[in-house]
Amino acid sequence: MSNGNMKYKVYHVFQHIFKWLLAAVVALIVLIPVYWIFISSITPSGELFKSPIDYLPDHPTLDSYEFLIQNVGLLDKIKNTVIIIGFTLVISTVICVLGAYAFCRFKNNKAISLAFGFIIATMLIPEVVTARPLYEFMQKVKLYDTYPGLIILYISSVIPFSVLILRNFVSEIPESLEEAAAIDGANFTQRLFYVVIPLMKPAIATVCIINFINCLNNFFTPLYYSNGIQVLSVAIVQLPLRDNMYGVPWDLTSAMGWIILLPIIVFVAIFEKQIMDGIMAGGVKE
Amino acid sequence: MKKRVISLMLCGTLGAAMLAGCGSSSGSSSTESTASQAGTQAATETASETGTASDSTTESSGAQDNGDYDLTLYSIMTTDPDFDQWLADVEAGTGLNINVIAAPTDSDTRQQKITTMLSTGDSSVDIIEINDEMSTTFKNSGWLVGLNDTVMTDDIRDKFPQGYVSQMITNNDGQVIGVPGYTGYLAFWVNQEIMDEVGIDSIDNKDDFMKYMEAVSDGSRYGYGGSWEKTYVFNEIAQFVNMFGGDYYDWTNPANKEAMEFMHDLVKNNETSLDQLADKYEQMNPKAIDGKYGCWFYWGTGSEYEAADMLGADKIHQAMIPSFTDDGQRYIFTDSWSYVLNAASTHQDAAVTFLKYMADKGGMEASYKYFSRYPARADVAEEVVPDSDPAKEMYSKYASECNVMGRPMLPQTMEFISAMGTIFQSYVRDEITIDDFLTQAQSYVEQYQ
Repeated sequence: MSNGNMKYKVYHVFQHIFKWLLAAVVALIVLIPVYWIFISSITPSGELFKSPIDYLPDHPTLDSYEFLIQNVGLLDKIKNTVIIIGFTLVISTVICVLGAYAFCRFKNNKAISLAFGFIIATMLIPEVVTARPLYEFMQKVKLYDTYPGLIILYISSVIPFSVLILRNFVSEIPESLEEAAAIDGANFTQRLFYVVIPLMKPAIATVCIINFINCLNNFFTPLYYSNGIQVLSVAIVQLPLRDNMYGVPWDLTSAMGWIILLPIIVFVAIFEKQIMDGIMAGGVKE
Repeated sequence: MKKRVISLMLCGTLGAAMLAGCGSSSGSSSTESTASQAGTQAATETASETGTASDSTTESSGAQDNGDYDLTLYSIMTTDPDFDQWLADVEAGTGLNINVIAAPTDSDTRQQKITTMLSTGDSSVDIIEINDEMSTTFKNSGWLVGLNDTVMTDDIRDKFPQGYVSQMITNNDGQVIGVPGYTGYLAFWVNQEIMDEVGIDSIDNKDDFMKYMEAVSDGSRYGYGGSWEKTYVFNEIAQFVNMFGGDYYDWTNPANKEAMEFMHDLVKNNETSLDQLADKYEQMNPKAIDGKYGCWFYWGTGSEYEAADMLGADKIHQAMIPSFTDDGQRYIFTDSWSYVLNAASTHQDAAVTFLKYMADKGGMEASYKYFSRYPARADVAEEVVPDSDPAKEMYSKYASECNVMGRPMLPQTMEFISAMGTIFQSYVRDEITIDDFLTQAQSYVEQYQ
């Protein structure tokens, strides 16, 4: 074997080792907290802060999960979450697909460009800035603590990201396809619904998946703009206090954390490829 | 042209959707300061408009339709396994049909939400449970109804711990704004096994305390244990200031200096650990249970020690607060969650009925029975709490032998607590001198008042 070949092989072996080491370190950084949350969720409250630390609980128990199922109204919260997210995804997708098409194809129109800029700019506004006026507004229009009110707020929160991704995706669809359809006699609506939107399906799927995860994680909106309609993400701050009112129930908090995390982990594991493909397709421009 | 019209329509649709709400990112950012700053004026207006008349309406409130309910209660106890039974008891006792909304039990989140509700004149909630921190922040805001003429009349008010009522839930106009839901003392806890081992029978005064410190501390265990995380240590700083006869709002008082030097010396003499600077109660208790501390201050009736089978006269138990001053005075803090009446409420009569019940034997008995909340009124506790309750004897002594106080708090409660904790930690780590500490502490009192 020549010297050059040997060096090349050694270089590749080291490159391989480095990649795996880096991946392992990053994975550990991400997974250790998740592991710790899980361990805490199955450890009795009295053993949570033992010293020295137990990396595996001495007396594992599912008491925390049992307590949550019996006392926190999980099924009701899941039902509310499904209703709100379901409507949000359907309505926001329709709005965003149409909007993205308009923003892409008619970008030379100053008013349309301005509208796009306005929508993207709202991504930069912290929720805290609009919280109080919006709270009063929602009350005045009788949308506070209602399904329609929450759905509108959820939709408004997913629109900027969705439009951004979908618009970039539309820009990669050659206009010549629409021109060919026009020559064949298709009108504007037909071109939109029979040519462009079918080609956008992968991006639409990706946006739906990402929006689903974001909606599931959305804590601020349901906490602030509803009282009676409670969703899964808010449950983590509605756990019973310990008897002196100062102790945080870390065992229950961890169990609730896992209940919220689990569907997201499963969802991402199943649709990981679509999520990455969609982000790359929509987020990267030549 | 057609394309342009359609595109403008699409943009219009999108714009309309966007106007419904401009927020975009998710997360739990703080709204407290914004809400409280912006809200003061609105709430004052709302309060003055609504007054206490039962038929008053609030223009600015988006009054939710509560259906057939007489009253809506915003409670932190809804996830307690016995909450439904408690509610049934209270409904039977008051004759009210009560709608309940679960309040966040996480403190920051809860305070942000309640601040917003009150400051916007939201009338969808009538009665709210608030803690001492919120009480301090809200009592002079005009967002809560004064109860002197309706619920906390002179005869009723006299039955609650006077120090607590006047310091914690009475506003600048002399109006009591809440009904304390329970009493929870910052009790003095001792480990009897350690006391027996070192041959000390009781810790009654400063000399006893110092002898106990010296006898117990050996490097692996400490005479005194604490929860000195920067937002928790405030309780102990205030407790020691009281024990030395000082005044938490006056750091020019020599007794305050003496108290701080005393705490500093506990660290210097290895009678308490610097490791506890990161400890909250969750971290402190396992150490106490493991026998690493001879004594400590802690809220509650000791359910953690009971769960570890360490609660009892021969194990871990409450003891009388030592008196450090020549006059023999003893001081103890009590905390509570109070039921308060939203000034924007449109169900004031029903709310008053509820509050009267909670201030009386029936309400306190229900809270004790279902939530183990020790009655705030000593006379009710005497009747309701059985002698078999391990807390009863010492709680009765605390009520009769100690000056029961509310904790010293200022309107910007958490900022004040955190600032004091930070400089205390610097002081015990010898990063600043005692004079620096006292100067800064006084400046914080003036800043956050």
